[in-house]
Amino acid sequence: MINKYLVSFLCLIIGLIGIHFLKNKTRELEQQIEKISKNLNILRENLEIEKVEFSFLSSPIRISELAKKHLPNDYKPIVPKEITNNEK
Amino acid sequence: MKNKQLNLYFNQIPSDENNKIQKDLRSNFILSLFLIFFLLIFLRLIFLGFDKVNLLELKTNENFFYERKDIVDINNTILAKNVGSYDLILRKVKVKNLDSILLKIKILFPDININNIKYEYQTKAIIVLKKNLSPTDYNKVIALGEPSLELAKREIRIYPQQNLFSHIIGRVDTDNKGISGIEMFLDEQLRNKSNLSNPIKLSLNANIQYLIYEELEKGVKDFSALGAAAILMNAQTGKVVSIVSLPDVDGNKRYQAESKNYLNKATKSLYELGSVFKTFTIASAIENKLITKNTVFSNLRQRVYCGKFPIDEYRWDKSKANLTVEQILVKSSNIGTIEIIKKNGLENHQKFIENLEIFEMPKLEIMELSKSNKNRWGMCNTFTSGFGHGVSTTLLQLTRAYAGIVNGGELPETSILFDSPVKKKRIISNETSRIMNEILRANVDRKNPTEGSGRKADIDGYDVMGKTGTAQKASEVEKGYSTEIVNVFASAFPYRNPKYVLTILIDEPKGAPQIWKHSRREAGWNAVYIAGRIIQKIGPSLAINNLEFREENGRKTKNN
Repeated sequence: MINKYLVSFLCLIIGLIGIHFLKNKTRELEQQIEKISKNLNILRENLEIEKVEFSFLSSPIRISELAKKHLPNDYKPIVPKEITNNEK
Repeated sequence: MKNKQLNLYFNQIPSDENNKIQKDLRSNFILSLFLIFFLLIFLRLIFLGFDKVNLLELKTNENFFYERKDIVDINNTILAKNVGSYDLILRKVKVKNLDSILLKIKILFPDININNIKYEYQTKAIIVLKKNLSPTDYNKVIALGEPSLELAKREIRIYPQQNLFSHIIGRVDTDNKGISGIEMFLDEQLRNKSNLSNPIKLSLNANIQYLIYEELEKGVKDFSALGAAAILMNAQTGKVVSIVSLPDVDGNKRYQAESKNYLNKATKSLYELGSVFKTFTIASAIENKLITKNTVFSNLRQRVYCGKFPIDEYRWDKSKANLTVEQILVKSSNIGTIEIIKKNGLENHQKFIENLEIFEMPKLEIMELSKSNKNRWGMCNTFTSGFGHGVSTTLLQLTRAYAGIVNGGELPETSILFDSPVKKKRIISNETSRIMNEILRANVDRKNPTEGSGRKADIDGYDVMGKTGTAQKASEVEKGYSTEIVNVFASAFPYRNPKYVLTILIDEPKGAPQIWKHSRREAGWNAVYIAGRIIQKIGPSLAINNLEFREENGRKTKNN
């Protein structure tokens, strides 16, 4: 009889302890998840801003302005005349 | 013990131990109830753990996207995008010492007007101190730690390409609702909450748009024009690759609403486009098999009368007396065109022009579109429409009609979206289209003994073809025409298999003696010259990317 009570009581205790650890672990993980997802959102938002920044920095208007400023004057695109001999 | 338990489970209770076993049964029953109860709680705990994780995941995914979709071009370059931005707000209730707060703000932002704020402070509960803070300013304000200063988050729309697409993309108001261009036309689609992460992809190309924009701007400066417009369209699919209209605006800045810079000259403004219409007149007659390329019209006079209205030949000389059909187009003979209409029959001509849908409302996914008033087909009107006078339309409709003529005779539906379906309508036969291309090519060919008006645009390797148009503008002050002109050049290339149609419109150009050493101002001396420069620049880029090919079969590019 006593054995039976003991076994079930032990089960209960072990179960309770298990639940306790499980709960703590879950809470910990939850906090981690929350932290990471918050971080992720910030990163995502930053990424979007960086995308805008990139497309602004690489926009043709800006690049051609920089090219005029920094490249030497004889830096010109090739025209077809220079390659073909179609001149009459 | 074991024996007993077994017996308990199988419900076979020996009679002599009845009492004791009943006790056992009761305690066992209660214990097992407890066990089941705890087991339930245990399992529930585990499931709760799982459930919460799922909830969190949902939360992180749902709240991120901005309230308006991006717009991207064919290469996924961003043309318009929402980003978060902070406004600096002063809340009156929480203010303890106004002067110290204002001092702190003035140190941070020297451009703020303190007197204005003090004046507003008397009447308003919330004062907006500064809009659209930069991230560094944001951190500085946080570092102040002032409770009455608040940062209100809102979304603003940014156009990273600045001036390039101002007329097509349009703009939004302060509530992020579209008020012009694509932003307004596709407003519902852009704000569709279920699908905010997918951008709207256009058939435009930012790089080519810039190359055209740059040359056009230079052209406007060279010929001191009022403005200019250009459209580059894929002749086979009707997809617009580039629309430029000058003068323009920067989409990120606010101007006065009446500003003439907002006018889209390519799709909104109606012009009499002049001789470019001769192409349609000739195409109609050839399609009806009434003339061929070499039919000769002789004894063309300098002036004919329609009723009492005189119609003059432009710069008449004896070489314009006897012309073939090809020469009528190359020399741009008005009287010759009238003869062709007479031969073709007025009704045939009218039917053909109506079939081209050139006076119908154009279809494009922007708001700024217009069509001319219903055309009353009188006799004189029909004659003058043959060479593009007395009828007005937009550059977009002209571009579309030219695409239909050169691409093998199928009029495409214009669109600006990447994935819209391609629709075509046959207007002329393949053979007629081929003949028309020959004639149009002769107008541009430098080696042609009859010097065509478009020969300044003959760029080696691209085999350009096209037709010029010079028309007087309707006078703004009195009835009739003013002395100012509008020049158009409608071109297509390459000649053998036309892929692109490029139309240029120059509004009120002046002579440019610094380039030509004379000050003639017909289309051949400005619109064609600019078109030549543009084709020279965009040609390599179009040839390498071969947009149309990539659209249809994206993977085969390697094999090519």
